[in-house]
Amino acid sequence: MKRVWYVVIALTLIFCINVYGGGKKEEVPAAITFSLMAAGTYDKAAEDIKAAFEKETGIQVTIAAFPWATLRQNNTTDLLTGSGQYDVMSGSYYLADVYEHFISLEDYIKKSGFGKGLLSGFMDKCEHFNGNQIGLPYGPDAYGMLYRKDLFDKGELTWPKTWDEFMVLLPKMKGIADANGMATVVFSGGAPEQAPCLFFDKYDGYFITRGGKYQLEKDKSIAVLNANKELLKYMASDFMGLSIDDANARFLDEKALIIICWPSFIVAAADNPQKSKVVGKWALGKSPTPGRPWLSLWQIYISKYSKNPDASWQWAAAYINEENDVRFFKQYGIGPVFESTYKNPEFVSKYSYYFPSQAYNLTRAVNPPLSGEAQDYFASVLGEFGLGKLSEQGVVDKVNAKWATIPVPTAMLENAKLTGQVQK
Amino acid sequence: MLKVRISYFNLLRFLIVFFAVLTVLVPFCYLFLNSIKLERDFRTIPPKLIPSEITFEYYREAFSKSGKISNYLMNSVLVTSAVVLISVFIGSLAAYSLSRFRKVYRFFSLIVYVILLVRFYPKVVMIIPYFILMKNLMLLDRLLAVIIAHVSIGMPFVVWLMIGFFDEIPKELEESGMIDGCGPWKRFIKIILPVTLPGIATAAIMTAILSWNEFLIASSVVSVNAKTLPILISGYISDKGINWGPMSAVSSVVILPMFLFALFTQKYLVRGLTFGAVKG
Amino acid sequence: MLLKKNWQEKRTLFTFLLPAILILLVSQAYPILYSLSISFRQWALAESLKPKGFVGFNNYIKAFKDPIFLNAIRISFVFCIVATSFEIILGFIIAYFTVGENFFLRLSRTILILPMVIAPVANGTIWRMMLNSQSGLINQLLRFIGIQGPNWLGAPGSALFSVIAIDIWQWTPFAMVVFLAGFSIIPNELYDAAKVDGAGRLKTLRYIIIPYIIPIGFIVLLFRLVDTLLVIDAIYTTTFGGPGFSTNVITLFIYWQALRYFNISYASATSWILSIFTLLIALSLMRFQKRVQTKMWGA
Repeated sequence: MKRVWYVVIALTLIFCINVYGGGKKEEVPAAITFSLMAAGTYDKAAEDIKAAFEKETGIQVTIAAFPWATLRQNNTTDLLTGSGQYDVMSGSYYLADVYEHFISLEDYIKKSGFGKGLLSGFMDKCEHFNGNQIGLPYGPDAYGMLYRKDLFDKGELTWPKTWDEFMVLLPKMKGIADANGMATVVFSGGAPEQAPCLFFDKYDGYFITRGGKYQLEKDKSIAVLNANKELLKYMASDFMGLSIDDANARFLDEKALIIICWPSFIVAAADNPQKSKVVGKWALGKSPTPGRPWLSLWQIYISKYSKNPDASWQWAAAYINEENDVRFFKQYGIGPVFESTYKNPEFVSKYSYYFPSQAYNLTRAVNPPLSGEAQDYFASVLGEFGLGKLSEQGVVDKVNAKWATIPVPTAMLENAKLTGQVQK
Repeated sequence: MLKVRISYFNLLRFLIVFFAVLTVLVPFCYLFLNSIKLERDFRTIPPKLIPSEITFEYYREAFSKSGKISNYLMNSVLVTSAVVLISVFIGSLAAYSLSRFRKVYRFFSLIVYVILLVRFYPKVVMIIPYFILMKNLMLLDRLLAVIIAHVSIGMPFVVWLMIGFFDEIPKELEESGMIDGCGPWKRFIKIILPVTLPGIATAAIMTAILSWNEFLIASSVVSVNAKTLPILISGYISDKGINWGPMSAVSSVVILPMFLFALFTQKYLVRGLTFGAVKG
Repeated sequence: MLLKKNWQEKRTLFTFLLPAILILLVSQAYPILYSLSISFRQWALAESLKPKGFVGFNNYIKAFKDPIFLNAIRISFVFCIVATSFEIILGFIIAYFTVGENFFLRLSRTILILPMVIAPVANGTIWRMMLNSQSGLINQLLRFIGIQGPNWLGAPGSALFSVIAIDIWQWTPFAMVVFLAGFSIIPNELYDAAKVDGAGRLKTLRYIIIPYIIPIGFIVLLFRLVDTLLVIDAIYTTTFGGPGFSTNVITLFIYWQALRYFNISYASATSWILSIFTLLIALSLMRFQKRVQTKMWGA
């Protein structure tokens, strides 16, 4: 009987050792781990350049791809506990709470001259902490409007330059839309976290007071909400039930004249005859003034707990450069960040209905300086406004009451100053 | 003359059972259909229900070298079997000991209830402290971190379940062993275990299901190497939509073993699911 | 037994217990106690990296003044009560009709338990596809009979209803299995007596089965109430608490506070409120169940 137990114990030990070793990494002089979103685009692009990078530099790269929610959670817990599992991280302004855990990239940027040739203003749009830049930009997008260029031309309408013009044109647009049996404007009202886009793109007031508290500027907010109330009348009747995919499908199916959307979510499908009936008929509008279109900007950060910051920088610089900018756009449709890509003759002639406007919108777009809690609350209140439960005044009062209790992360304040979103 | 009599009761029974079975099966069939459907069938308006062409591309992709599903499958198998072995072994020893002790000292009943507390605690809050713990033990991204987490959820359950079984063992059986001069170890192995084998089986099944399916805690302590299958599934959701095809294929792979498991072990499920409160 | 005087026996039994206690101390007691101590201090990562001073019950008081938390309690209650009652009723009906030993009934019982053994993440995948507003099967079927279905998981009006339906789909089998086990312990004499009295099916159901099965019903109630209060997977994998706060149950609220906003002390406090509440429900139901059982079945 005893012998049996020895065997069992021995087997268990062997098993344990195997399990323990199961996740063990080989120690290589310089090994780094890059965390990013599993999307079949950014991660595939990283895999693509990995082999060449490793061969050239001798640095071993591990790519850790997570679904969006898990990526955010894992990055943050890693930083807060100082674990240093990920040397290079992907994220965006929602990481504001943990900015102090990233290293300053200023020295690297100075030495390498990184940032030359980026879309104008993009270095400032990257996150900063204590006056130092900590993020490098990739995969940008700006909330915008796709419209039916063919129908606009036929109706002899030109795309409006300001929101005032836009509002004046709305009835005419409706005439065209009605004549073609489509809705004037479609928007994913069923995805409430998207609701703030309609506010951001018309609002040029402040979000943070001189005293460093979250607040909406009253008169400007009410004006924006007024315009939105008018705009809502021109939306597809069921827009409050549409998800992002649904709204996109409407536009692709010729059921809407204008769609308010993230262009990067839809342009690939819009140009694919198998998925779209609007190939060659659409264009991206330049975002009317005033306002700051909502920016979506992935950034690469380097963790303070990385043992190989130099190798990490090398990887970051290899991932974001002019050559890959073109390549990743061609292969995966990842939004470029370099001016040169937007001026690339091949793309300019091929995407004349999209590229110039996108470059323009991107230079105007910024991240709102809102913490996750502040933004979520704002979105939910705007949702109630969309359903007609609140007046313009009511929205401003409700938001300002709650925002007074939410702390502004220091890093957010800094960035808000850089992008002019603090009370003057 | 053969007389076929269909009573109203049997008609009603047929309708209800048929409808229930349909409600359960349709979603599964839909999942499987989607896993063998071409990309373009998802996009047409309205989308095609029945695939225009059958493809096993997503499965091939998943099992290919770049898909890495075999690594995750291996991880899942290792984690699940380790969790089952450890929780059942340690858990039933503890349950035996508690079952004996608490007949004499009331204090041990308290321990039993404290162990039960684990079931009433939202696991979300554990994530951060547990992560810190695993970091200090240098176990991040190791299978062992996942195993410990699952054992700590699964074992209390085993203890609770097995106490019920041990309590049912007649005193005489144990005493006969004592008289033969067997120590506690020998008695446990030779006399007690054989009688409670159904209990052990139940405990093993329940911990296996738990460990195979667990996502939240596993996903927070692994990054690259120690991923288990459920984590892989959620990887197909991105900010730009969902890759239905590959996601359905991987989901089918994750579901299948549990199906087979359920088929062969259903008679043990009841008692397990109710923490031993109902004897199936 | 001889345990009291037998020191060696005691020692060995104690070593049996030791590993389990150790594992629980390290992996459960530590996090739980840690969160208890944090819940009395002030710690939000937006403000500082280390927990700040002792604030007494402030976090708890804040919770009961926080409209979002109160809303989460409301949603949890709706979820819990609607899901549990449907599961018990449907589970009982299905169990009643699947009792029997012929091949088809056995086969259907096997099929019917499948939903509860699959991974919550896979369950999420299935239902996100089924309920997708454009390509989902449900809306396609509705379109077939001429109804334009809503964006089930995406619209504030239908999201809560949808996640409840998903929970019912996955856990009605649990109620069914437990009731089936309950049916099998009804003594045959009772049936025989009913037959002698000439009771029909309905009368047998009303006077024999239902009274006898009530204690079992309480067990189902206990487990489903507790589990629906602690539910997270079904929502985490489908709506993530959204849209807005429409499916934001308490556990999701805790998740957001802990791992999104990093209001760690607040998350700990709310999770203690939830666990104490759950524990109270569970303990009182257990008590009550025992009493009912003694009353119905005798000692």
